[in-house]
Amino acid sequence: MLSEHLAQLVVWLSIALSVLILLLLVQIALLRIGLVRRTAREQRFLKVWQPILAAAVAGEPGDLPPLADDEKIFFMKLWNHLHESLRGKARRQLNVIALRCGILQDVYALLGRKDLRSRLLALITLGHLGDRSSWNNILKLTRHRDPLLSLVAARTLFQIHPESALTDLMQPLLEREDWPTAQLALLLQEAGQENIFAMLAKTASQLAGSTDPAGLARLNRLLRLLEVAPYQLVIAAIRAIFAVTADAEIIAQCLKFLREPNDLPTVMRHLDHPDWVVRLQVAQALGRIGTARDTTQLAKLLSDPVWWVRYRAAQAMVSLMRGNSPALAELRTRLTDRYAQDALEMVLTERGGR
Amino acid sequence: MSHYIDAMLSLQWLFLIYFAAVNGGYLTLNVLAFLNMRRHIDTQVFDDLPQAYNNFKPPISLLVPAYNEAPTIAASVRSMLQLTYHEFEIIVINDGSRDETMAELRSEFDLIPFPEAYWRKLPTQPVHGIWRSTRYPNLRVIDKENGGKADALNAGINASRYPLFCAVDADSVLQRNSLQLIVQPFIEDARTIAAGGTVRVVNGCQVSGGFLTAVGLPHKLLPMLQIVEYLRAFLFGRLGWTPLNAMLIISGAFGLFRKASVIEAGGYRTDTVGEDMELVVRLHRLHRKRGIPYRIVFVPNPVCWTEVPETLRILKSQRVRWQRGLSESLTTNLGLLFNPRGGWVSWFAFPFTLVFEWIGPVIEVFGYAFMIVGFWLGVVSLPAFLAFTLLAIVLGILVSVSALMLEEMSFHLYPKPRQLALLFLMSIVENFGYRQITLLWRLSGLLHWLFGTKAKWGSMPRSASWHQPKS
Repeated sequence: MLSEHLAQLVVWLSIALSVLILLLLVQIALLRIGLVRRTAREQRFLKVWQPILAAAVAGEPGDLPPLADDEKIFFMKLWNHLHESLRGKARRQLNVIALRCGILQDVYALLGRKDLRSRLLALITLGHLGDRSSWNNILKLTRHRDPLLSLVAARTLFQIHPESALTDLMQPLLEREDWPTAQLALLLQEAGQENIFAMLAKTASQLAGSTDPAGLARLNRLLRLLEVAPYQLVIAAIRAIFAVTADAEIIAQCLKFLREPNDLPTVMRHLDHPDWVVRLQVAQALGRIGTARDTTQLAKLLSDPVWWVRYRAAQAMVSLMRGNSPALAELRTRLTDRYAQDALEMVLTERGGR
Repeated sequence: MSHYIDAMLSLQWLFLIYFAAVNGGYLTLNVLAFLNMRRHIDTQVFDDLPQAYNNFKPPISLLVPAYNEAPTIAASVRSMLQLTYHEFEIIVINDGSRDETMAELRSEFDLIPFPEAYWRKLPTQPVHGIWRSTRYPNLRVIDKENGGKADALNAGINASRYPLFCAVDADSVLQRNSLQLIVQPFIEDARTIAAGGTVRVVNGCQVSGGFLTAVGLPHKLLPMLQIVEYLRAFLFGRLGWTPLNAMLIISGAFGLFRKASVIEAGGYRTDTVGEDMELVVRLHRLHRKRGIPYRIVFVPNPVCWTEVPETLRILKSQRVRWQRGLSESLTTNLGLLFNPRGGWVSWFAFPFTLVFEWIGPVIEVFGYAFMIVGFWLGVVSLPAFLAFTLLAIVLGILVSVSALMLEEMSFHLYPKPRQLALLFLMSIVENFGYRQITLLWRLSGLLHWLFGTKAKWGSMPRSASWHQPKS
């Protein structure tokens, strides 16, 4: 029989767990009370400070009421929100207000804390303030293994001083795989300085001849980042890469940049490339820079074994023939390949050409 | 007689070990979920900032399989068209509906036949035609022979154009920013192949124009009990497994997948009723087997709201189907079990699900019977019987209250204290009958699977009493 001792133990365990449940309930109630109070406090804060910050943005900063300790986080949230919504002079006005409120020391304190939320808030605020005095501490955080924290730290450095940030972060930018290229591209676009794109393009030229996998991976990543760069800053590097590279992925990446008709021979050189991703980019490039004379070459891609190449080739064809419906209809009847006909038919219908 | 008693004494230890293991496992998951939620809350600092328009987010194909959805399909599609995301297409797959679903779509969205030439990467039932909306360029409709939900999704995958696809139930109510939230793991980590979000119960809420306008609780007991159940399943079940990359299910109501990975795995299986879970388990198995790094992630944000059954009959049919789906998903992917390269999913999540979720109903029903028979035979004393019953109830309440705690820590969606009190009450009430009856249904599902009955569309009659047309 189940021992009475065991039964007793089970009863005590049940009692202990019941106490735990009660504690959880108390915690839930406290959380709710805290939430209600915090929300009310924040509402009161916003009622006072929203008009003040709005006036400051409009260039009419008046007297500032004292900022209580428990209001500083609300202030940072509101201030950062406005910062992300505004541009130019309005941002500078916001910075003046922040400094007048003396929040800098609080931001440093938040940065020194261990919890993620505080550090993130501090990094966002410092980035907007453009404050350089914590540069080394922030740089340290870019090496943190938490990808989110390190990436936000990187963004802060780019906001503070893009050129120095790029110098300090070039290596992780090209090598940290947990930093998504889409986020990095956004970060570079935000920084928006031609110098940094020129520096990146120079690095791309230096990596052009890479044949080892690591070098190719870095170049590939760099090319993805350069997609947001102004065309005139990168095209020379792209042409230099075309001259030496044989890697399909790199060629496909480079084809995306071409915008000028004098690059047509480069595009045509890859028309029969064995990798379909390259042929797909060839079709798209022809759609951008080709002329009606190139339709014969493009027609080859309409019969490509890969659906995506046929589809892009058809889109390019419609674009090159400027949607000339009779000419396209005639072309369709001349095509002998059924897949090519289908692809063209589909794109024509999509464009409302039929 | 003494042999029987000896056997029963041995069995009682077996049940005790099972009891300790299952509850220990759930409590461990609970702790993991708390840690994971903590991090999620920390990152909410970004929620206060305006979302920068980010055209680096990958475009998404929304796949909406529909079977006999004529009364609601137009409203559902209209609300999906209003989702906030920079580039997405909607593909509705009419899976041979016998009602007016197709006619409804044609007239509501001015559909015209579209000569789509696409790559049929996954085999499906014949497609009668593809239609395109003249009013919404990002809306297409596939009209096909009936083949079940999985077949419809495969047809949608074939016709989809974007690298990520989102499988959505036609009757799901989505958050307006659901795509923005669910795509985040794919942006943060290129290894992500699938992401699922929290599905919440829409019964009792107010919905207008296809979107949720106010969160509420239903008036009926059954859906209210299921709210606690959903909180438990999503907020700590799936959230707990995520840091170990061991989540075995993404709800069919809303899940985002990398198309190339799904095609590589062979698409959805059409011979199972649990195609959503089976796909996820298979993705784990194949990626582990081939040594390809991957992540399957859970996003705790509430992204999708669904109607739950309000009658015992419909609930029973749903639970029987779920258990059957679970059986099929696990048994067709047994290669994942104790795979040397399998990691947490292979050594913990899969065995855990196998023992406690799949054959658990057999052990638990047998355990209940044992306690009663043992008590009758005098092998289990009255104090022991009562003590263990008390512990089982207390543990059940503890797990549900933990889920409530996670909800209050993070999203606090139920605004009124009365609602929280009611949910707490439900976490007590469910231990007196509801859990036991669902246990019996799960056992029945297991038997259905064992003795084989034909799979069919997993549809559920819905009242949609929460729905209000847009004013």
